[in-house]
Amino acid sequence: MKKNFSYIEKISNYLDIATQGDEPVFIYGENIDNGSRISGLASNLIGTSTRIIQNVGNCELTHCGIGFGIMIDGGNAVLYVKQLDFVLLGLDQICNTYNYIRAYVDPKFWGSFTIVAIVCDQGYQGAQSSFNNPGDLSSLAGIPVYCLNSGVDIAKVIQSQLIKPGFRIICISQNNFKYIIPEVSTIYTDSDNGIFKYRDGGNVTIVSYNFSLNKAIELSEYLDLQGLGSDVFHVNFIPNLDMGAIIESTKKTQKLIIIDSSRGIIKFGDELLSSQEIRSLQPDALMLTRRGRNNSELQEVSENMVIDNLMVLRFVLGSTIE
Amino acid sequence: MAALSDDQCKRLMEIRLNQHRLNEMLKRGNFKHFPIHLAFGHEALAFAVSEVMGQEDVLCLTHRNIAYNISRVGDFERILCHFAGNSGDSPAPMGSMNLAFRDVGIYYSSSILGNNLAVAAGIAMNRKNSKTGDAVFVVTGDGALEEGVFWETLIFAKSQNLKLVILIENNNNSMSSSIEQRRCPIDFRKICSSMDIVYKSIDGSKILDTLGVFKEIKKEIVSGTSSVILAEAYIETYCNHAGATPGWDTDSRNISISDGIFINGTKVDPLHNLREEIGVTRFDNIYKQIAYKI
Repeated sequence: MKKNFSYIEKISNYLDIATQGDEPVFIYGENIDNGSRISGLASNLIGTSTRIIQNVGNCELTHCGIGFGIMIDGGNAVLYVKQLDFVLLGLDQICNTYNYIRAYVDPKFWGSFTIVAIVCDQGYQGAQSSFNNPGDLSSLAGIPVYCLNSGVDIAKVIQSQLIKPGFRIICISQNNFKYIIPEVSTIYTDSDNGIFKYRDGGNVTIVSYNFSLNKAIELSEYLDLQGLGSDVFHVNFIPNLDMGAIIESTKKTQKLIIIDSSRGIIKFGDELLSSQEIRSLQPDALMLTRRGRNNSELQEVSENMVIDNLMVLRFVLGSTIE
Repeated sequence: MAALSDDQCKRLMEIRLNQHRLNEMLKRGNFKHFPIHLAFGHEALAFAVSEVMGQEDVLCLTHRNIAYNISRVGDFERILCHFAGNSGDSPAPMGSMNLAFRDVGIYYSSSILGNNLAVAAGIAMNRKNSKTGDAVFVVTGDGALEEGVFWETLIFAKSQNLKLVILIENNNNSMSSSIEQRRCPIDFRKICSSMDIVYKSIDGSKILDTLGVFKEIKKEIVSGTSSVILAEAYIETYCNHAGATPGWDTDSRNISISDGIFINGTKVDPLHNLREEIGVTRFDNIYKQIAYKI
């Protein structure tokens, strides 16, 4: 009987598989081989002659620099980070050192550096420790950031991106850890694993960012029940990503809904809406987001975005129902 | 300590002389878009590090990297082309603060204080994983060591027994503040002792002594008797932070190539010491062979 894997089991399995090849890789992080092994994320990892597993101290800025040092020297590094907040400590390296590498180091010398970070979105822990805007890191440093949402993107992103010349961050939602993730299949994936299309329909285009795919699919299923079909996409935070598939869909539906669970004030969805291609189509657009503009959002709030289905239905139908 | 050969003396003088040439170009406004941090007074360190580096060893530098680049690259025109906005054989023009020539072992130069320390530790980690015996040298300053990354790197490097040589250029200055003006003193001999890290103190104005210490360092790294080594070199920087600073004692506009290779008014100049160490006649004879560049 086929085992149904939870989100975290699936991710840790793929991380294990992706680092078993002949290519040497240095995998490091705090508690990577101790205790819960980073909430189970590293539970499968066993050191071999080519896969070095190293528990390290609490110095995230240096960990980021070490990853870039290994990359400059042509090696492969994967840094596991328990909380996305910790990555903030490494921003100098992520911005400045990677800029240097991109500008001056011939790509033929590049190794690989990947940060795998858990976004602590599982519940209110306090005003700190809840940074959930990995798209901001992408915008700040001009780097690819992937948010793993479904079984398909877990497999594709980890297999194709974990060890690959260059740098990226792969983010995991702690809120999803224990869930058995639905086996949704994709209709379309671009070559960068930046855009995944999950559903096909003619009435509305729904674009998910961050960890919003479940919400997007739930919304699409609700609209299905109302006799309205939707194209559903998940988009990763990748600078200069070709958005052609979404533009084509919007041209067809003339209605665009963007769902983004992050608290960042400026979002990649804003860039999509303000793009020349989308503006020339003049679609009806609805942003379902949290903006993090108010101090009250630092107090105890639900991590789950609540979407008002009726309001969305009105939007799709052009406000013709009460 | 064996005496320096004529070629070694020439290389050392060229580090100074080419900085003079750069300073004259800066005074003429040749590099308007490139703030070049000259390193008058750093020549002995740059020379010694370069002398002991093997084919596979790596050097990571700071924004004040010019003396090391001149020393390692040799071909000064290759450096000049980057200040002129040409890339030469690199992917892009590197400007001054990020100047690093990989083919001579300089893998990284960072304009961010302390940033290069962690990157150097990463390179050393990769070399350890690859089981090579290569040494990684990283240069920092008495200002950068106030950054958290300095201490983090020290802990990481020692914990992993990396073949990492951290060279502190202690010129008692961070921009325009002396150590006394900005922080408490730090005794690195005691710090290193507490972490079981080898500590070396260097008088960075003495050529032969400096070279001697770096030869020891290289020997200890290669033989495996030491892993992390922290070398603290006391030096004077005979020019201000970057570019002209009117009214300052160290305004590089007051330094003129017409005064010859020395800098007027300096007390512990490595070049003065070189002349004392090898004798005035020999010094002058060697200098005459390269002075045509003036």
